[in-house]
Amino acid sequence: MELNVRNFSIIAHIDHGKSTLADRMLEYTGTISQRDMKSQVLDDMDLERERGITIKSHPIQMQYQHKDGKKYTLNLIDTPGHVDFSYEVSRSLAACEGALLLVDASQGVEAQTVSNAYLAIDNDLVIIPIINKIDLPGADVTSAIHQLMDLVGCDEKEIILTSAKSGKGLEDVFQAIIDRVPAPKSLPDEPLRALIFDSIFDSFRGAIAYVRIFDGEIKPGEIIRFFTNSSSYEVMELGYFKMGRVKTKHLVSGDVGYIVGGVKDISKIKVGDTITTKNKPAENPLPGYREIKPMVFSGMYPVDAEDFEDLRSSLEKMTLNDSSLFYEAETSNALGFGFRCGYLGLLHMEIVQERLEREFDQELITTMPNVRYQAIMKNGKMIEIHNPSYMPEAGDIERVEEPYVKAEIIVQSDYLGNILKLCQEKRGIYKTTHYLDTGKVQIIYELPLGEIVFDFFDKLKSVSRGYASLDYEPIGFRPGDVVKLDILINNEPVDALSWILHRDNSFFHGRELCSKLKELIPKQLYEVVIQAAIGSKIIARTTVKALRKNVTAKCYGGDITRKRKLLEKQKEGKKRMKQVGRVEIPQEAFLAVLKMEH
Amino acid sequence: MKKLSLYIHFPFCLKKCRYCDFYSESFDLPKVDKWLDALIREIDIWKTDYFDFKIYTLFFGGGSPNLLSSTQFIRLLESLKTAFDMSELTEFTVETNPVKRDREFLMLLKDTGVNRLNVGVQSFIENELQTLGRIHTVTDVFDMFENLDAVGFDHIGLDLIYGIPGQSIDSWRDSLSYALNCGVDHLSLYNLSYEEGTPLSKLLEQDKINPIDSDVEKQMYLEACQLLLENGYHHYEISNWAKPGSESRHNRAYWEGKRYLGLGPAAHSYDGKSRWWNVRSIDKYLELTKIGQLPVDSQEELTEQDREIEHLFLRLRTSNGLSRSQFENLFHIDFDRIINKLIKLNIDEEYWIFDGHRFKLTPGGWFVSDSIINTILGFIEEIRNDHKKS
Repeated sequence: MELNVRNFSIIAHIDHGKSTLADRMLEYTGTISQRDMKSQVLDDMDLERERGITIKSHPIQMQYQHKDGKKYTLNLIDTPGHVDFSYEVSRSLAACEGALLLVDASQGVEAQTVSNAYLAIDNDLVIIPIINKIDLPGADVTSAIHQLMDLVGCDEKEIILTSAKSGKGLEDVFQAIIDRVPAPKSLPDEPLRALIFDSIFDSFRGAIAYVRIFDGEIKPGEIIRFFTNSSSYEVMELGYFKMGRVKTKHLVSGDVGYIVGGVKDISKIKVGDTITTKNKPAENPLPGYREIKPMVFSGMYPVDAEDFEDLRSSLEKMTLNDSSLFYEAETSNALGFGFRCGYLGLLHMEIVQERLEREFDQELITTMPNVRYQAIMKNGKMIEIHNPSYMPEAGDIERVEEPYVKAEIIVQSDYLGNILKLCQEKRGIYKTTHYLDTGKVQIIYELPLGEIVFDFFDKLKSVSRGYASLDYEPIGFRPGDVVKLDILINNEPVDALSWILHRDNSFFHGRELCSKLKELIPKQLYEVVIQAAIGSKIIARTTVKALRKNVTAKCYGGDITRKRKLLEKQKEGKKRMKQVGRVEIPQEAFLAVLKMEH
Repeated sequence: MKKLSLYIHFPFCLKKCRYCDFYSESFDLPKVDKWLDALIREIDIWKTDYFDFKIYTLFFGGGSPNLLSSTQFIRLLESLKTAFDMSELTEFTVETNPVKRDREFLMLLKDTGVNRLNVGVQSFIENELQTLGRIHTVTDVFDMFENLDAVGFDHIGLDLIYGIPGQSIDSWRDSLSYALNCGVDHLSLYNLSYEEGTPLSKLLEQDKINPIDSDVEKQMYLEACQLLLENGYHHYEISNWAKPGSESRHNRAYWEGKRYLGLGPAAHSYDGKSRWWNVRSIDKYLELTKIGQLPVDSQEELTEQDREIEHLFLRLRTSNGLSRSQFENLFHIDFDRIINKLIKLNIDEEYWIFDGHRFKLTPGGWFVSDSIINTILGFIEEIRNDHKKS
């Protein structure tokens, strides 16, 4: 029996109208009344709405009355729209049979259009190509059609033209979902296999798994087991998604829904893992599970040392909802007690830091981000380095390996030369270029992630006048001639300023960092010597001369209050400094390296 | 015996100097009369509060108090004598600019008990006086001192400014030696500061003047310290030198946290617990005194912490420095702990001296004293936080 169910996602580059299209579909199917409609209802964090990006997927079920007289259940699984979350995107796609590939008519195909399309193809999804925003003045529908045909190898007549804003073409989209996306296979009698594509934490029910049931069925009271860990839980509640969660008696092969199993720790529910039952276990998990590991790290310290515990509890709360965020306590000689945090990527890092400041009211000093390195030691052991200051002695290391990514850049062909030059400068290995149509070109490079983390994205935008789009995926570790650059202030190394970088860049960057620090460190009562060193070799040196004068010359006439207030103001400024040895360093200095001009 | 220092602010000048941020308006004789009426009313309001105090020092500043007429000066003095007990007045200072003024007026001052004159010379170099926007010339200064010699005051103070745009080490040395030749027993050398809102600080913002490099200013200061020491002057406060026994008692009262009452617009007062200041507007001042109200703008109650900070910075400004026992009584912290933390400050240059009882700043230390004081305040906070934790 074929199920009247369709499971699908919408994939697109940022700002191509994914959330607007989802909103229109919800409205059209009466899933949400127009009255309750906020724009982009599916992005429920403020931050997401502000940035117009989706961070977390939020599934929803719609009922659609087809012209053929049958009623269909449509499960829309929204996907995060950024490169950092590509694994999550891929698992959401794995839960579907089809994907709407949305392209903005004025922008054409962009980097994430391509990477998302490939993810969908890898997951054997039926792709429905859609060109959106056709009403916009800058729309170039013909060019967009050619780019899409080239990208997914489809016929022109397969492409649907829409304006999600006005609702134009919406009916065609629904038609295509029913007609082209295959119904899920119905295998209700097999042992249970449910794919976890997301999870959230609910303060009353604990961690909740969002699942797609591939095989079998599940009811409350049954004992479930996760494939990646042996612990088992009793199903307390099941349901599917409307605007909120709706309880149900069972979920069956083909369904998309949620499972509450009294799991207290969200890290037990791993995206991509398979759930089966204890009584009738499946032999093998669903394919595609990967342990996700943070790619980018940075130190995070409270501005006021007394807020350390506060920061810890905020991080704890954050990880309840974001299991991809990693943190562990660390100490720094300059910044005191804090945390080393690991993120999926740069955007993820920015989001975490911004949420901590906004939602949790934390005042933070964050250190320069770095990637994860692998040091292969002379004794054959491998050490992972998350923090530059833990880099082993050079003499003990056989070699260091650094993470590489395959970067895909799409840009107007006028800027091709600039982009190639930039990628070469960033130690890129050229792979291919591919013309999407006459005006646009796709460039593939292999690049060290460490270079991307540094300032690649800003540069990319500046050499292409903002046109270039970038996507990347990790492709493993490769040996690299990287060294640790230390900054010494009055001969004391400042751990929070250590930096791992390529040997060829170290001399230049060392000198530059010293001069930036010289600008940022105010004159003190003694001379401050700033040095950059690799191992014991000093490669750059500069000094901040001793303060010559800081005196209130006149103190007569009895206006002592004003003099006191001037002193207090100076004292307040001093309080916000961090002490290294006898030198006071302002907070901005710890991010100096990011503010360098190149 | 309860002692009180009295300050009177005369808020008029012929022309405002470009660096000055003290309150003054342009001179207008009828308005001076109104100011005097108002001042007498203010004296009247206060006299009951201070009936049992003896006025210890009296300082008549401004503005340019030398613009007062003899009649006005006598009227002011009479009302002071009626209201307050002046029987034990030890020091009576009048500030004056070196402008042409008849000898009779100076005689009058001397005869009515003024025993100290403070002359705002500022520089002996013509173009430096112009940069500062002073109305007098170098010749006026010499004329003034000729008159002063003839009248014969007990004590004369002379003020100079260093760090004037265009000033050189050499021109500063010249000013200093002219000042020494005047034979005064008190010298105040102030480093020019660019106070917000003054014409001079606006010129600086607009890049129209070149400020003197702080290394040069420090050299000017240290050379002056050496020269005045050799000439028998006692360096008793950051910017003040005197022949032994001629230190300004009035200013000392400020620095030692004694009581003072300020009369006139923008004058500050302190009674040991709180500090208040008068309105900074002659019109407001006239208005309030007319209806019998105190012309006070605001008042602040000093907290324990305020008092601590003031004690620290005022004492460290003076050559007596900070007494260990007073510090320990006030802060309840063993002074050795501060010294241990401070030792690193003396590595590059000697900024302070401690003989076990008194902690004093050297001239080099004085020149960075705001930073040193803040460092010590930071240590005090650290020590207290450690106490809390343990």
